[in-house]
Amino acid sequence: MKTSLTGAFAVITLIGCAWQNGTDGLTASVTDSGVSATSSREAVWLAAPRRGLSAVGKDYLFVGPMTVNREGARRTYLWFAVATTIDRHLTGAPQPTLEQVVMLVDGTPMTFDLIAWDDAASSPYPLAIESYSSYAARVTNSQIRQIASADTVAAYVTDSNGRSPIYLVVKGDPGDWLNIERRYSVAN
Amino acid sequence: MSRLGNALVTAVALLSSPAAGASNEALDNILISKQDGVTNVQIWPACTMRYVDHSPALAGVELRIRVRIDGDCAARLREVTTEAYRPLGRRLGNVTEVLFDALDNGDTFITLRFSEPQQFDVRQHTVGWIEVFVDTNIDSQTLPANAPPPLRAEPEIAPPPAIADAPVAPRPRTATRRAPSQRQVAPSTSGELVVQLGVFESVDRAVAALAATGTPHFAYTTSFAINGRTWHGLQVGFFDSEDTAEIVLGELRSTFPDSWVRYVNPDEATNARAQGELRTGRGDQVPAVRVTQTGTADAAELAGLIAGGRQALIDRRYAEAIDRYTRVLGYAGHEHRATAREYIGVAYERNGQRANAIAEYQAYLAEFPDGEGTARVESRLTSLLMATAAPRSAPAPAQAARSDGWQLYGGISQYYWRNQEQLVHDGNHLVMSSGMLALGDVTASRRGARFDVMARANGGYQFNLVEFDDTGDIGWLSDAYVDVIDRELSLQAVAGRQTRRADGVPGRFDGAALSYHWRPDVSFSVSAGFPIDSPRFVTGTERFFYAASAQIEDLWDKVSVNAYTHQQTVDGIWDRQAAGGEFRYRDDSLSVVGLIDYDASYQVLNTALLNVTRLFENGWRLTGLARFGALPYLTTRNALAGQAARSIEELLTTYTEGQVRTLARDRTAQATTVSAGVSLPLSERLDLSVDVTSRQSDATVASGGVAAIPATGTQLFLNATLVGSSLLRQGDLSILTLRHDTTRTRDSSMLMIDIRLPFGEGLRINPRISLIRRIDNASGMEQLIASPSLRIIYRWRALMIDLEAGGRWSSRDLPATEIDPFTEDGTEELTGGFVNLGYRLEF
Repeated sequence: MKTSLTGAFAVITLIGCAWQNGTDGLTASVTDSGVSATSSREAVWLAAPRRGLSAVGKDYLFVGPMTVNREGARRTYLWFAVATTIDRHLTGAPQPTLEQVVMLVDGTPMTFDLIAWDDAASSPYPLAIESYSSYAARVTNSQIRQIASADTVAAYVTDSNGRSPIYLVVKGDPGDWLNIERRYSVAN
Repeated sequence: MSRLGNALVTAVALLSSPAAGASNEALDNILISKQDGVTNVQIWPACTMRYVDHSPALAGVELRIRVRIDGDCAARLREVTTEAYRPLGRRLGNVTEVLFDALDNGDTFITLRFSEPQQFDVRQHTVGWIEVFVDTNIDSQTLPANAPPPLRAEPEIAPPPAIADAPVAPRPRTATRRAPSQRQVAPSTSGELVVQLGVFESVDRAVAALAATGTPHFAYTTSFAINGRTWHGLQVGFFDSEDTAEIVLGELRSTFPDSWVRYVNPDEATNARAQGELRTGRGDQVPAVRVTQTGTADAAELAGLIAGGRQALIDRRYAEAIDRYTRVLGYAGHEHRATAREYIGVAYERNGQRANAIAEYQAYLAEFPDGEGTARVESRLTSLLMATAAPRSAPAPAQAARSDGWQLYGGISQYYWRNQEQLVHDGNHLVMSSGMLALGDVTASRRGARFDVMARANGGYQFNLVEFDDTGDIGWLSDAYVDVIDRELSLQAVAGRQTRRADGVPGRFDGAALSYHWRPDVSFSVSAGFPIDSPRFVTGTERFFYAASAQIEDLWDKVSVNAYTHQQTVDGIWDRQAAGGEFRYRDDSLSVVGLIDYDASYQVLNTALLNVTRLFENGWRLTGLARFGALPYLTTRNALAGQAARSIEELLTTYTEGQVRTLARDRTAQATTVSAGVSLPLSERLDLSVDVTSRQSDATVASGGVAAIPATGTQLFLNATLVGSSLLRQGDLSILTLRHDTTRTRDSSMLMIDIRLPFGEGLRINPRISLIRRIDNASGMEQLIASPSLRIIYRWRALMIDLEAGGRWSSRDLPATEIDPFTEDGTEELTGGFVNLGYRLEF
């Protein structure tokens, strides 16, 4: 499938005011047009070491849920961003492209229909490492629950060469996603 | 990647520091640079040190690197026990200090202390320096102070549960689920939601289980592959809302516990409907979804443009570089914009298009006012503006300083020490050594738009305070050189007294070295000069060398190789004509380093070394080392060993050149060293390493009036070290070492306990005790030695005060010939003590 939500997300220029709700661990950003994206405070960090390129270099995958409210139509997405601390300039190798993400939820693969979230200004999560591309996949509350309540979460990130290294959680807890899921389950 | 390469092609904040230590003998230099959040610490040993292992494996507030020092190096550093370094730029990697420790047991550590927990890795570069990578991107709060990082102890990814093993109870979840409604959902082939009933390697049993449920909903399968392993999804649908789908999910969950509701993209839905109902037998597997591409530039394209632009810039194809960077800047909102904006300016500047360059630099400063390259761009812009405004006038000093300006730093230190012993039964003490040491080092550096310049000097003077000792005072100069990098020509030149480990050059010399980086990963070097044995000696011109090397790094991202030739004369005849090279392979779990040095004139293998390290997932690290070669390195000057003559020129008055070369071979033995070790984490705070080393050296031949040295036989060295972190207090380090050596002349066993306790930011207290038992194999006599000591280091701002005091008690059986009236029981008891007191002041 070749679709793009560029046009849809183009309106979500997350400038203007932003507030943080300190009670439920959610962060929301609202544009002048009333379109809002709500996410939990911090993304979950998954990382795959690539010592062949750089001794401590890692490729990172950031994952977090967000709910986009556009003129009252609310949709939940899982947001993915890829970043790296590997200096590929030295080898001339390009950054790995993201072709597919499969999350391993208690060992069961969960696939996603990814769309490019290509407006860097609309990143729903602050990241300590700058991502070079980000994506979103529309998900259900059922999927959020499935991931959030899992004992183990990992991810295979397939690049354009067909390699799928495994990324392990190094920071954050998907269990926190239950907050956002509960909030919108109530709202719904 | 070398320093020049870093400076040339990347935005690196490169800082260097003299090895500002107490005696400044063990480490020549510590260079720190940072790029993309990863700090690179290059530790340049003063003589050959081989990385053995490090702990903790991945993260902590203190990194201990165990190194192996060769015989010549060990001899050179025999008086060096501990040195502290505070390299410039240490804050780039949150480094507070670097310590060199040569323990009594023969273990040698280079320790990096961090201000907060860091994640790191260590490797040895082909030409000898040890590199530490500190990933400062990692939030230190997620890292342990002294234990491996909290990477979740993820179990091996288990295959999905077999569906036919139903009934399978749902796994306990920490989240509550909404109870499914009892409302019935009518089958439908429209809607954008399905219930994913699981993902399986074999879907047949799942399909059978689904059939057994009697659900009326449309079912189909999908497939996708990960790393060659094919997975199959089983879905039922389609549903118009999540609520509806959740009802069906609730109905089927008892059979399919790992199930969820998801959206399907239109292609998948269309294909599924087209293939028909699975249970009619017409169903086929629908390809699973993939990433949807967009019309924007993807990361690979951008990275490719950046890499191509950089290469074009290096190759001086400026028009092509400008074209590529322009294309990169055509896309908004990506991480390469700053790089492209800066280097398109450089390309314009080098292409003679100054107005365009100025415009691009100004655009950079407007777009990235706090960018990583802002200082550089400001500097280039200033230079361009000044050159444009007043091309014939030299810039005023204040303006010229805009190119980062000169930095001046260094330190001075003074130490007093006294070491004395006395026989217990007579009470007369003997001062073994005592003196006053004064050290100083200074470095001046300047980063410019095109040139980076660093000048460095360090040396010392030792006053001998031992009465009746005619050794006298000693002064020395360790370094005195100027290092210039020309980024435009990709050249680096170093002239003066320096230490080099490339081109087969084994160490310190007075001369010059020139490196050219043809490509980022390919470089060539030449060097020439006069080798010096010790910085304490002034330059001698009796020996002269010239050398050349080529180096290729990061072949297939994993392999680096270099090859060199090194030619050296002494008093007009060949001293050494060597060729050699080094090979290094490294991947996630395996490191292999091979080194060979062959002297063509003597047809002797000076060194053949293979060092293999295998890292396992569970944290175990196996190391193996085999070394074969000449001991010492075969040079014609070895002929002087045991001779009264002090130079080859003098020896040549007695012997012919051929005879001198024969003497040199006769003084040189062949030695073999084989060692194997394992280090393993016992717990989060305890690491154990065990190694065994076998060393054997052949006999030398008697000639020229010099007696033969017998073969050593097989010498065995067993070592076990237990290292504990934060056992007594946060950030401490406790080392327990057991060692047993068996040599031809004696056996010795040692137990050592070494504890380093931090108190606050500046105070370190280091109690240590070692107990040694030696047996002389010839006489069978025994010696016992106990050596307790205490070291206190206090650091306040730029001042470090260092106090160490210790005692020594020794008891040994005396041979019958040595028994005197005062030692009638045949035992000699010695007591002694030492004190070191000093300070270092940095500026």
